[in-house]
Amino acid sequence: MNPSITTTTASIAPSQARSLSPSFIGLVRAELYKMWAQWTTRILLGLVFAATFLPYLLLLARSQTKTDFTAQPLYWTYNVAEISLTILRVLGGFALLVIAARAVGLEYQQGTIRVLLSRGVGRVQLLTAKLTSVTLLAIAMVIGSLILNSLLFLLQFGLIYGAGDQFSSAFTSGFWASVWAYFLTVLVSMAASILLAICVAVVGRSLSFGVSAALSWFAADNFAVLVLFFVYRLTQNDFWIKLPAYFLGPILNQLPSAYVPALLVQHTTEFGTTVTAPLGANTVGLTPFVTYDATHAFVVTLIYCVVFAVTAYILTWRRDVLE
Amino acid sequence: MADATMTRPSPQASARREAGAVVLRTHDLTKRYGERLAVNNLNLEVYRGDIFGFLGPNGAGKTTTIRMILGLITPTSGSVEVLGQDVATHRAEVLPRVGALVETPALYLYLSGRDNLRVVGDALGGVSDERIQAVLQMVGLAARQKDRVKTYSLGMKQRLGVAIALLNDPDLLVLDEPANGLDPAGIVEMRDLMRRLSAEGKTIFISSHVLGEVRQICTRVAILNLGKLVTESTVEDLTRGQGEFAVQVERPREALALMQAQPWGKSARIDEANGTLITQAPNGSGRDLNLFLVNLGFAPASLIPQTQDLESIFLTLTNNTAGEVR
Repeated sequence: MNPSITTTTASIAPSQARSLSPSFIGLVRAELYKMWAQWTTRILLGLVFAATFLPYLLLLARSQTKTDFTAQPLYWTYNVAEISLTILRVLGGFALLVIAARAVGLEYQQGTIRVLLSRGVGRVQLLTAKLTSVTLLAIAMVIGSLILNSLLFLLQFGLIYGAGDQFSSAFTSGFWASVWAYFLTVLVSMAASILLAICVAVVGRSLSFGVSAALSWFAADNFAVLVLFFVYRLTQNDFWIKLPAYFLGPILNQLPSAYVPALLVQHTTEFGTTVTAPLGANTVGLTPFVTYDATHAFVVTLIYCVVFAVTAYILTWRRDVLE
Repeated sequence: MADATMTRPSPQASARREAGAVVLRTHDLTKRYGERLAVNNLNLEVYRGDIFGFLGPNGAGKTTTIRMILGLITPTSGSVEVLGQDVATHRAEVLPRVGALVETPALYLYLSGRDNLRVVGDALGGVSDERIQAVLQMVGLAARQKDRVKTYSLGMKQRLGVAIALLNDPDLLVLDEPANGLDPAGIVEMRDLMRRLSAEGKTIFISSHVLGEVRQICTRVAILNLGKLVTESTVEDLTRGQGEFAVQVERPREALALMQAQPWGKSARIDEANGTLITQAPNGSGRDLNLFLVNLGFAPASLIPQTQDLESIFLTLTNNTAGEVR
């Protein structure tokens, strides 16, 4: 039931509203506020941060972790860093897919895009503000995750195990080079996820289409690798097995192993022998069945990102707003 | 058909035209979707201080026109001028001075009423808390401002939509069915608000199906049918009728014969339903008609200028059915 109006004599107070004009900074602030006000965003970020604890809890539950770390600090530190970054890449990417698709899709689905555009906010300006705000959120998530990982590492290995004197052996220049390279692949993966989600949400102009298409994309092209492998086995035509080298999901899956320099570490095997072996980055998900170098992966990813961005901007700029 | 109802503008409208205070103007505005013409060469002029009613049956092209005015849809041809500037080329300067409510109110359902105003205000460059409170007071939502919009009734959402439209203290308000979902008291308050805003010099462009509302608050109306402008006039001129009077006299048939003998009385007739004489008047004057009848010994029991109601005009002009208007 409508509340009774008791303020009918209120008049329009003199205001500074007349001098208003759309502001990019204001748009970004509004977008960040809207994103943070959604429970979906908070839950997804909570999941990412909760998952950060997982490798440390598993190591804590393992009885020989302290002994192993003291014996091979570089090996264990690198493994912890790699697992943590993998969690950030996979779960963070998933969270950003949903958050970015919602940021655009919800605006179309609820029709609020017409409220903003009819006040003079530019279409390209609005899309750029959304992209910027999702990027800022991603940066905050990455920084938060790195800080949390650092604190957990120091807490577990420094305070609980008292192995702080081993850190100098762990944090070698080779370690930082590999971790930095891996971190770069995480950023690339996140950027591709954001652009993909924004693009499909713009194309579909709906929340449900945007979220489902964004989430289906990587599942579909990972699955396609298997399908094409079977087609290759049937036809013996190399074309089918080479094709996944141009699929975004498989390319991003293999990017760390293609780009991150292998780290030479001493490692004691389960048979008690100590070997020096290159420790490469692990892959998660299906990868193309052909080898390619990091340049190929970066170029293909860049092309996808450009296509996503150009599609999103052109459609936003040119299409009538019928919502 | 349109020509029959196109009337000369009132002196006030003429004065405004002369003053050049056109707030909204469309030039041959056209929108085509494939083979279908949604809006066809529409030429409108809305003057400062007008409460302009934009009428038409479903599918007439009202919302498409409003969306073109607000830059949401690109016209196939023609242009829209708001506050003297082309919307297509000056949207960033012009549209911040326009407040709009298009169709159902579009709101962030997961935010409170106040936060809806805040995020729109942020996008517009920042609006003070005082201004937000003022518009919430204006639409009667101050008490529920902290509640999430998804808990609002349709009428409350409509009020919040109007509050968002008023947030930037606009010169031109474009409201699409603003009374939708409001209870009778809310409709009265909305009407009062429109009048008050108009008195403060704001121009209000209302698209509505509720002809009674339009009749009560609008100063001028345009009727659109099948994308074409059928008529544009002041409400007063549109409903004035054809200068006829309804006269009740004794012995109406004798009076009719005398009237029909006069040059001005050729179209005089008797309304068989109630025996009333319907006639033009000498010099178009009710006083002269009264004198004519009294001099001939037919002192009228009543003499009433005939007017047409907006609904019948609307239905006539649009060949519509009564079921589509209220």
